[in-house]
Amino acid sequence: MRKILLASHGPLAQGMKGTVEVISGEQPELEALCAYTEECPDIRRELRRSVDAMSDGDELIIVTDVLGGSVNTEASQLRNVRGVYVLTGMNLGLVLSLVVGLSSPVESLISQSINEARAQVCRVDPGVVLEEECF
Amino acid sequence: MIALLRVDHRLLHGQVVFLWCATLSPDCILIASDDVARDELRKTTLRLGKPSGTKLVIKGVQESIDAINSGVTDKYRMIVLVANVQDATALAKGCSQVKEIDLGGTKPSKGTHPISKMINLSDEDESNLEGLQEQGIRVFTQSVPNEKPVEYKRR
Repeated sequence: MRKILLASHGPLAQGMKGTVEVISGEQPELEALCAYTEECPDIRRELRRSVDAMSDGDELIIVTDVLGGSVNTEASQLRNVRGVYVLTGMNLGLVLSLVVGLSSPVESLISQSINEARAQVCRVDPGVVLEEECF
Repeated sequence: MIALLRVDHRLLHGQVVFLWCATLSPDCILIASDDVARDELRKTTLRLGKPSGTKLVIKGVQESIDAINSGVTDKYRMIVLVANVQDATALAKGCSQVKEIDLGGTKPSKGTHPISKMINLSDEDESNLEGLQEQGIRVFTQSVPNEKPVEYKRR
């Protein structure tokens, strides 16, 4: 079984899950950990708990909020556990791509989702003109 | 061929870009709308959000009907988006290729009543859809691919 675990400083992860579900409907394989809140005072312990709950063959894609932040640092400590994949730079495009492609092979799913999410971080140039396309 | 004809006031948006495109793998999206076709700002805005690897064509409703009937769209696996039931009705009446209409979302406005969480229809919309069903066209409501389609029935 493959799961996606969103992890953030504060409520971003839970909010991200809610936003993803507005667009794509309920996603039971998507979980959220909001560090430094009452529900999750100890992110290291909660991440460890999620990893320990994995069975043989399970996969856990952990998506954290920011590179260099404590949540990603804690998650990164688990990166060598078999079946654990750690990504950072959470955005809606990234999480939606992961959710939509969840059944595809994990390495291509991760690289494609990251590429698509990167392209989505951009300025919408007020002067932009895009050419008309025809059949 | 038309993989999906969808009525959605938001036209091209998250559910279409991320979910329907992942499920149907279209190589072309046609937005059939007179309002959009004459609005350059909106056209560019929609083009900015287009999924990669997919052609996006924006035309008025009659131009869209003519294009589909001419055969130029036959080589594509196409999602056709219209903003309202009126435009969907015109397309279905004008193109024999249209066999199904997905009601994806229509916002409430004066004279409409909700028939589901996402769909608001006027009496005229309901008459139009009923007329299409009598001609053998399937009409259903479905927001996203992982949701079960519900056949439309006039109450």
